[in-house]
Amino acid sequence: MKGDTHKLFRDGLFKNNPVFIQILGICSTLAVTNTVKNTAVMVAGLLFVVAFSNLTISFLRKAIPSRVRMMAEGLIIASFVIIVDIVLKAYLWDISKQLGPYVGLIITNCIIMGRAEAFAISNPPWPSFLDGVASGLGYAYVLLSIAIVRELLGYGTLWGIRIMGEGWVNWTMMVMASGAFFMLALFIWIMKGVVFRERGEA
Amino acid sequence: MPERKTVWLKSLYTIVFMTGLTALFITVLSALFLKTRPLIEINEAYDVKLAVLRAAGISPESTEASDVISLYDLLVEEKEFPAEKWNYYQVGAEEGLHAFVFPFRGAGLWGEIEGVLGYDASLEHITGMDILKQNETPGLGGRIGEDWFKDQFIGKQGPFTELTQNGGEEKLLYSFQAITGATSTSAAFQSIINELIEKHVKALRRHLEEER
Repeated sequence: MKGDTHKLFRDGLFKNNPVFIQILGICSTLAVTNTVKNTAVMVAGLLFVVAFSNLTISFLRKAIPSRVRMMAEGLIIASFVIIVDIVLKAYLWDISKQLGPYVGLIITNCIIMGRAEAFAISNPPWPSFLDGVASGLGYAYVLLSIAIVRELLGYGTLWGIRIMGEGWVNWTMMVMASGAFFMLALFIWIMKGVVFRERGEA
Repeated sequence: MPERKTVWLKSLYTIVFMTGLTALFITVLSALFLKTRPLIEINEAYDVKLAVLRAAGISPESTEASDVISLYDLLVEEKEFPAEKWNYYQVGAEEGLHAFVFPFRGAGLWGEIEGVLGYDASLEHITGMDILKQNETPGLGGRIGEDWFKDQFIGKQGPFTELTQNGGEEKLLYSFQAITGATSTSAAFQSIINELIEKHVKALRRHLEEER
């Protein structure tokens, strides 16, 4: 069991990382990583949705008729996304406005349906929940790494707090979509071309 | 025959299962929505109140919800234009009229753009503008929500005949800077603002002159 848990986390975080190995969830990776605060809320939302939709789907896996399997998964995922949206609108209004349509678009994030289909539908609840957490964490650290660099270079701040000195000239490109493309490509290159190659896993 | 019965039972089970699952999640979501609705309504009202104050050229010292709402309640009066069904806000009536704020709504490139536009007490110059809702392309048309775009209207008169900032002082009063790469959104915004000025601002100006 301990070995299985270790494998789930190793896959979700590195070997089968949803962002830089499977290239899933790219839309939100590009869209919300211009500030760390927005990114943190987005990844927390996704982590909640992927973990609890995996758990629910796994609980119901023997009851879900196979011919409406994806319909039921879609319903469960959408419901958890709406929960996140309502909670943000009620308790984190500013962030909810800044994230705009991207919270609702968690429904279309391929990571969630991917984990439901690839794991939760055929595995017991606890490992499915852990698989969701591992995938969510794998998505989280990639997005947060990109967001830290983009906000620091683009605004000279981290979490809205000024880090760079007064003389710092903001790299406007970093907070625009093109900056996200460059940073994501750089991240994938570092992970696959340097880290994984050194470990012989590329 | 038994095979047909099995198929029929399977179909029935599928329908019952999906109906039950849908009902379960609708119940949970409805309960959560009803529980949080008062908070969401306060947040939405706060947005409108802060936008009205900003459009009137008033920057609250604190943007805490309770401070903004009490300042709004102190300064702003919601009015209905006589004989017509549109509203505007009168700001600072008690302590010498400060500004009039007009809500606007119209079609952008992808969806509705909603906001408020403020004019000084003489209805001659714009005091501010704020966007409440828009679904324009992030990074392009979506930049209508940025301060540089909104602040450029302060001191201008409108209606806006051109999307440029080149020209003499007179021309500047009737033009604004479009967003690069978002010509359609800029043009849509120009037409929304112009319609507001032609219909509501001018109507109120005439009405106030008649009253005098």
